Amino acid sequence: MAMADDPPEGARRLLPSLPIADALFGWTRAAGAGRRVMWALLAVGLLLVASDFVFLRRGYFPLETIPGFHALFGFLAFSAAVLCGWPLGRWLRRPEAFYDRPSEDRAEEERNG
Amino acid sequence: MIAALTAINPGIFMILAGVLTWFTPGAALRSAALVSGPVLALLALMAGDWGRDAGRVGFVGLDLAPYSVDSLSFVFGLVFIIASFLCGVYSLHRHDRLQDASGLVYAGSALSAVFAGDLVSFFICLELSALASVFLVMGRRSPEGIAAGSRYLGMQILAGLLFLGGLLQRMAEGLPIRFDDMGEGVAIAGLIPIGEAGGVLMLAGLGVKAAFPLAHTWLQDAYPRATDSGAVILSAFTTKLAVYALARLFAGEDTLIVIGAVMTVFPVFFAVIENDLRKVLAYSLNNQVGFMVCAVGVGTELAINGAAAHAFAHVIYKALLFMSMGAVLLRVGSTKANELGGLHRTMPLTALFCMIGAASISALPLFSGFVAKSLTMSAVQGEGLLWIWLALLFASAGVLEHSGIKVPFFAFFGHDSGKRPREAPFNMLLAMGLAAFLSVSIGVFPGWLYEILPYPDAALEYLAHDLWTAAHVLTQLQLAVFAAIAFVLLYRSGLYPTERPGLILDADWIWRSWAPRQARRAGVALRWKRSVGAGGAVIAARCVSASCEVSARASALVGRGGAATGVLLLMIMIFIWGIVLLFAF
Repeated sequence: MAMADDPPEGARRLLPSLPIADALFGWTRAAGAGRRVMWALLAVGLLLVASDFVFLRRGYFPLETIPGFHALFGFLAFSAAVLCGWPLGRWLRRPEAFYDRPSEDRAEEERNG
Repeated sequence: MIAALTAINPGIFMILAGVLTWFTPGAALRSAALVSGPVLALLALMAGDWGRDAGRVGFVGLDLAPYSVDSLSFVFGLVFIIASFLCGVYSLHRHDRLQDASGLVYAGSALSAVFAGDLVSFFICLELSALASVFLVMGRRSPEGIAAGSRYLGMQILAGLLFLGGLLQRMAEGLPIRFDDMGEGVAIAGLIPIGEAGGVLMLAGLGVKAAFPLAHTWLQDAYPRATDSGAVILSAFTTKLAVYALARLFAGEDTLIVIGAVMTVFPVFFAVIENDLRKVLAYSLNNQVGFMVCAVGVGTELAINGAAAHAFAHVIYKALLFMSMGAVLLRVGSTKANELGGLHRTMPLTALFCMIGAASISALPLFSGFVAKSLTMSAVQGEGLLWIWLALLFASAGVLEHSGIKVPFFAFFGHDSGKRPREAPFNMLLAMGLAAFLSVSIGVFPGWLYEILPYPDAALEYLAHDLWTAAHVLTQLQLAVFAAIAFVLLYRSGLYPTERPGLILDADWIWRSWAPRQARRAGVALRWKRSVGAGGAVIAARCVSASCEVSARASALVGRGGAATGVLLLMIMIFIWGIVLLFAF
């Protein structure tokens, strides 16, 4: 799925890859695999949302009975969690040896963010 | 003879195996003990007439029940034995006497605690398990590991002393300490109302063990510093033992619903930005224990079944995930996401097992997480707790992010690191294969798990009418598939945060950095050494002092007999931790 970051094709041929790995996961290294996965997921997702109109839904809360509620919630919750990572990372990430430094240095680092 | 053996708490067999392992010079014999200890414990459990109380034992005037089995302890005990066996197989390549022995004693004492029928036996086993686990945290013998082990030790001492303080208060009031003397009728869960003497302190002690919010950082600090196999065994017992005790003592306590919901949500944000994948799994452990704590708080039969089923499935799939990262650590030397990627080429089976663990924890239908988590979600819905349900739903999407996708993707796929390590050793693959098989078999055939849950009738009714309904399965699939779509879109558009090395500040910043600085500024003559164990020792000293005070007050209330018991328990505690402190520092 992350073929764009893979080493060049020539370099990859020189590296060993087990036959069972090729059988199980070789397709993930094919050109355009990421795009195909995305389209497959979208197709399955649409079918699942469509199923909400087929199967009568009884829920404990009115929210649950809204068609596509879980789909929308899953998408938004996942996106929110991931996108919060940007500001949180800037705010909370420190050098790995942060606690090994003298406290004065740490205080200085914290002041500088 | 056999009848006598089956009357012994099965955990004792594993503790004995651990002690023998320490004195066994041969690696082959130690390996045999790693596997045969849990097998013996299983045989003892199954041969016993479970469902009965093994009888009363007098000890310094106390009426104890060191071995008692009921439907709540059975399900936890069984999964502890399974986890011990899996960890034993997984560790066969390791030739380390200290870890072999401490692992068996740790698992054995956790098992003994589950089958303890009274608070005193439970407490002693709880402390023994904490003591043994310290050596697993320090197993790498690195300065960082030893320092983390010391901090871990401090938190375990704190938890133990809080629980002991509550226990002594309870005894001072003359309240029963045997589980079968507590509660109403034949209740097996929720035996202590929070308002009863000692209730708050015991809950606080268990809260530290369960890694409640703000007391959670020992988990992320300690587990990722353990060895490849040490982290696996650590992941199985301490927090689940706390969940068991919470269910046994405090089921139905409303505060736990909120605490559990917070536990499920906050680790999601930390896991997103954490670079070390074993630390990500530690945050994920927090999140999963949150579901169980929430279920315990709800306290209905369905919810207690949910907590037990979730613990059962979680012990196995979390061990599987830690095993896969342990294999990566063994072969690559790192579990940092920015140093990994593309490992599926040469570690395909490890990748496959990791993905099965990821599917299980993500609660995909036909995997164990689905059949376990559904009980809790339905219980929360059944009680009409809309906001809690939304929090758990958010956390479910979060699980997909950190454990369902991030861990397998960044380790085995993603950006190719160019590393081509060998596949994991056979024993590791075997353990992972067994754990994966169990995760799938629970997911496909949940009936056998539901039959051994604390309230099997309620569980089987749920299985017959609710679990496999189209709406239920489809909504879970919707959540998973659209979360996966969000990942693909964010990753391909470059909006997914880059994996970068670094330390993520958490609540432990307060006592590791801020508090010492404030203390120095205030001129307090408190020397916070950053070296081994100072934090733990200070906490221990304060807690011992506080506990002595509680003990003295309790003793004054109950007279000489109670005083002797209190002092004895305190001496056991101080003796155990004294040994550890001497050893560690």
